[in-house]
Amino acid sequence: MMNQRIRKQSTHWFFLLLLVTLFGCGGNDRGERTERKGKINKDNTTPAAAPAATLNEIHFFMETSASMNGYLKGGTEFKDVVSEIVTKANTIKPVTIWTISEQPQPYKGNPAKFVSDMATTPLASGRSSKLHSIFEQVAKKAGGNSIAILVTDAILSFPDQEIRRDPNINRTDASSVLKNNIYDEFVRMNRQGIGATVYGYRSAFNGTYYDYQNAKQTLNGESRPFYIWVIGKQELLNDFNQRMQEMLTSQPAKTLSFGTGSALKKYDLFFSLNKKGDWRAKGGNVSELKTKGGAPAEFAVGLDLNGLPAYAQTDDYIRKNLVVTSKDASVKLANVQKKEAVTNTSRLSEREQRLLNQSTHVLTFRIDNVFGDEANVAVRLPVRFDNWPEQWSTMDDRTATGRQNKTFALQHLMNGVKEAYQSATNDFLQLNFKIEK
Amino acid sequence: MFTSLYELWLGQNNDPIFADEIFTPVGMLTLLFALIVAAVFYLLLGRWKPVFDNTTHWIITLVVVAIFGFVYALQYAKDRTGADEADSYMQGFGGINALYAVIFFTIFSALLKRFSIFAKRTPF
Amino acid sequence: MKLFLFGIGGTGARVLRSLTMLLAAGAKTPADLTIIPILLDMDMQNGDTERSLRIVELYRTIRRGAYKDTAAQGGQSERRTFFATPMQPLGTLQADNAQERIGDSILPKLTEHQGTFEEFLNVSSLEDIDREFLKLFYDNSARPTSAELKLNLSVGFKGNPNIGSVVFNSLEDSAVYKYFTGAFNNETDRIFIISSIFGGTGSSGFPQLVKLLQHPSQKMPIRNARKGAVTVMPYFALEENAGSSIDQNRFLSKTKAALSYYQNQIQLDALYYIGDRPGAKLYPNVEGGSQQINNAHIVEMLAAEAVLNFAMTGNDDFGDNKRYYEYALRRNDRKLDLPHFHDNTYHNLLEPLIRFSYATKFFTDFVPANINEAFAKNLQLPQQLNTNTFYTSLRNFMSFHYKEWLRELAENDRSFNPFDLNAPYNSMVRSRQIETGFFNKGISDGFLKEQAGKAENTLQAAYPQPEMRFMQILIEVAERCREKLGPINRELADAVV
Repeated sequence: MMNQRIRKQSTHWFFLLLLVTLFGCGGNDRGERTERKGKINKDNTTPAAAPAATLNEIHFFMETSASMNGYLKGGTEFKDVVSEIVTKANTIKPVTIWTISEQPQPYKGNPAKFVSDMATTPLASGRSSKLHSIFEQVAKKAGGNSIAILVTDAILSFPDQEIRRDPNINRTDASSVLKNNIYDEFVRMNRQGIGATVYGYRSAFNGTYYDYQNAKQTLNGESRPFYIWVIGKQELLNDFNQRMQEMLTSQPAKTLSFGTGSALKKYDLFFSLNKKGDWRAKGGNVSELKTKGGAPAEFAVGLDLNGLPAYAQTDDYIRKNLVVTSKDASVKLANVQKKEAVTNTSRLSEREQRLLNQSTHVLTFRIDNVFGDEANVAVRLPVRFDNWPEQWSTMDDRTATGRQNKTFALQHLMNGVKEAYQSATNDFLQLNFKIEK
Repeated sequence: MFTSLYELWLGQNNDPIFADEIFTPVGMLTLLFALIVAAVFYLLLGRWKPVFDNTTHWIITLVVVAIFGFVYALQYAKDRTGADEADSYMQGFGGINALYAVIFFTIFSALLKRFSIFAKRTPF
Repeated sequence: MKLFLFGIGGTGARVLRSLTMLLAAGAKTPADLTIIPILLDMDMQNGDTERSLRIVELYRTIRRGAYKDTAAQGGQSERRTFFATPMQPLGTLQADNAQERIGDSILPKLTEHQGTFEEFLNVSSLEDIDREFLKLFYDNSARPTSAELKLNLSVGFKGNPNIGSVVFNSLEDSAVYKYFTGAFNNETDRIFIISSIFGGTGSSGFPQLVKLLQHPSQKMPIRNARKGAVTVMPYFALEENAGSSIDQNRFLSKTKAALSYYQNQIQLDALYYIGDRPGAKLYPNVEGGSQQINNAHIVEMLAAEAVLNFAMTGNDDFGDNKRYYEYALRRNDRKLDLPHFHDNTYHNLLEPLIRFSYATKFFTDFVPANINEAFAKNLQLPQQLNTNTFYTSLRNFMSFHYKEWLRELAENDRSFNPFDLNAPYNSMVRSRQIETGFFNKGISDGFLKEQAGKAENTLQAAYPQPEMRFMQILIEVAERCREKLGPINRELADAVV
């Protein structure tokens, strides 16, 4: 009898165990979700981010066609800037140095030797070369986990024999033939997710200058622009630029970024931060909005704009360029804050605090009116390129005044690059959400 | 549907993640769990052998389902919000989910018991 | 086929009791058999008779609840083993010439007369010379124990066939017999008579009845009907009781006298004799009445088998030439178990008894203890078990009558003790213990729950009536238990006694 009882009970335990096992299985699939926790992602179609690329090596290219010679003679800013960039880049990741006129030649020696060589040894002895083919060679080293840096005067030019045949060809055909060569090259890069940033510098120039008709002029300390192109995968590029700009003592006079990738669509709708009025966050939308007493409601979204070029991250840029459109509501941008500028965080919940920490910017919008029961709101931050290349460009460099601080046909070069990237993306940011009553 | 079921008792949480991402999956899984357990109780064990079929067994199962409802809801909410400690809303959510688990299981019991052999009169 | 079964006296009642048990257990019978038991006894208060009456009544109540069509078996889909054969009192049959209803009892009144033998003979109105003449035949002494003429007939004839034969002479004129002749209409119907050779009522009534049935004045169906009888010879001894008018020392001499009479006078299609050397167990010597309530004996069960054997014998198997058969045990032991019996008895009687014993244990032990199981609830047993006539009758039959009958058989000498209903299921059948192991618990509570639950589940649609469904479950569970028991070793072990 006793035995029977025990046996009976053990059967009960067996089934309890079975149930508990079931239970355990439920627990497992929670673990997998934990990795994605805390993200409110409006754009569900965005695939989970591939493992972030990490920078492995840096290829430094120095253009050594004859026209570069003038930058290297005497005490020029050029030598200071290039030395600093090579040295500081080398602290980020090991730098491999190449010289390039037609084909890249590995430079035998370390960055320190290169810096001292630059002061003493004539490096620029190569023949003049076509810029787009230089870009082609450089881009080959800019894939994967590498970044390529190119130092160049960025003068577009047809080959010598073409100029001999038609001395004005550089002037007449730069905007078509040469620009399109550049365009082709950068479209190819864009397709591989490779972006580019241009640092614009000026330096004294002591040596032979070839004008667009290939006529030689000897310049003595005349101020000439030169450019440092940083080329690489978009995510590596942003990080690298940021770190370089933090380190450099000789900051570039101008920069311009050409970004790849699609517009940022991910945002977090804060449910209490900067909230005004009576509404409820639901599925990334403002819902159950009660418009009473005409007091406007306000809501805030958090954005991670780290992927944008620095100039596009400024409050100013955003405030000037952000476009808010809605057919059925009147919604305005009320405030732009960097994360660091948000102060009223003491009452935020743990999770909202974390959402804030994932953002770089907080954009606060004001809803003045909603006409229907529901309004679709579209927010865009269009890409606006700086227009300094226009000012830095000339189409007649035969006279000192014509070429003062300007680069021949820079505008067409930059247009080629710009078009290559513009075809991919016109907006840094595209947010779509709803306001529901 | 689940959102309104939970908010009926708990009220709305400021954090939309409950309505957006927690209530529905937790409710669905709790419903599914109750269904599976009821199916195991009535159709698998209840038709196999008379080993786990009487009212005492049913109450044991009910308690297990309730505990599951509580723990699962609490853990899920903690995981999703990333909170280290469950706040009172989450505990309330666990409690209400335990209640719903009990209700679901009872409903499934009423529906499935007729298909059982040994448990067709369990628990009523 | 209707079998009109006359049970004469206390022995007739006791054999009928055993027969009812065998039929309840599902002993093998012809499919269309209906038994019409007719107890013939002057002793209306006889304990044995009274008990048989109640058992048959319970049997009929149970059978009415258990099966859809209470008529004899014939092509129904339902399984009928327990309580399969219908038993019908004579009074419920249609009788052509029934001027007088005789009631539904299986023990109809033989005569309206109440009082002493003297009064029956109307001695007081006789002339003196006749009265004196009568005294030559019957003891009229002052000793009350042997004063035959002063014998109160309402307790039977107390072992005095010389009184009984006189009384039975008037059987032809009784309402019972008239009703019987009216009801007996079918060529296939048969007649069987149970009597004892050594008692009073039986030994006197039997030859009278046979003579009456064969009398040329009887109608043809009765005269042509196949007739059989079992005559029980002494198989028990009585306690000494100086105050009783029954003298067991005369049992054997009376038997001898009767046998020689039967040899010449009784012509039947089958005549069974059964007897046994009396065992050590003495029966109380009472003259009849409610105190005459004797324990069941294996001889009565085998006499009941004779009834079934007669019913099973095909019409053409009764030859004109006399044939003699003997019944024997496989070994002459005082204590009998299943292996002691030959194949016919084993298959026709004992196998059904094994199943019925399982069913009894299931119904009396398991069901009340598991009244809240799904199958019981579905049968409404929690409410019905103690109130519904079917269930109370069944419990009554099983707990008080079947178990008692088994106990009496076991305690008598010879003892027949094949089952121990108080033991666990696995050792209920003495001649075979069910082996158990870790995975096989034999017939456990779980096993019974499973069988009952599954049976209830599958039978639900076909048997919406709970009582009928319950009977099918009972049959099914008993069958499963029998399967679980496995084959029984029918080799006799070395003699113990």
